[in-house]
Amino acid sequence: MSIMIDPQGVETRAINKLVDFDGLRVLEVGCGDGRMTWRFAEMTSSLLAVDVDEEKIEAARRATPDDLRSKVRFETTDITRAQLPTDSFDAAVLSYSL
Amino acid sequence: MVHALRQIHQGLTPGGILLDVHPEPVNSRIEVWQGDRVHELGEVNQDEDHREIEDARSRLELLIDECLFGVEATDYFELREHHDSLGSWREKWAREDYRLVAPPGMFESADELLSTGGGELVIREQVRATRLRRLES
Repeated sequence: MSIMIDPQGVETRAINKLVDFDGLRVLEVGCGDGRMTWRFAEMTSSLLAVDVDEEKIEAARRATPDDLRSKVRFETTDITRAQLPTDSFDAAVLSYSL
Repeated sequence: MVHALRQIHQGLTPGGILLDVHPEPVNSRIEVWQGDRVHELGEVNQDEDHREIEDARSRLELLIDECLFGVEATDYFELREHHDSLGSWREKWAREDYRLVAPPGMFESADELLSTGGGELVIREQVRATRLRRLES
């Protein structure tokens, strides 16, 4: 069984048209298994991706390409209870998680 | 969720960007693609998810009304999922805890088409992406 999501790259074009992630410190909320993370991670200067689902976070960690490991961090966090550091991110992404 | 959005507001630098990507509250269309042929199987009912989306939008609009965020741009696109079997779709459906209801006969039609003629099961979901900017309240 196999699945391909957005093989046409429509989502990637849409989000990168709205935000230039180049050099930004980014928080991604509801990252799941990192499916959308890879659409913009490479351009960021750092990326903290969080989700409440531990299994998905583990899957995202395993799927992290070697060249992104130094700047992408996945954490199991419930954003509704988290205390984020003040003024720390240039951009935040709500990935199908509003 | 309002607390989460306030947290995000606080975590952003002044003038920081919030990109909200989420499905439109419309039913996804289901098709089987076999080469150049497209078999339209109809829509799945996602009323429960639509209510959640509308609620979430209301919460975000609350913060826009409070001038914590300002909307700068919105785009709409279609996200397509391609599955090689009905099982693949149903597995994802269960994993993601989707609350959709397929019309009678949809699964059977999809299964028959895919098992006899191959091809792909394609889920077409409408999505909205909005860029907002942190404002100083």
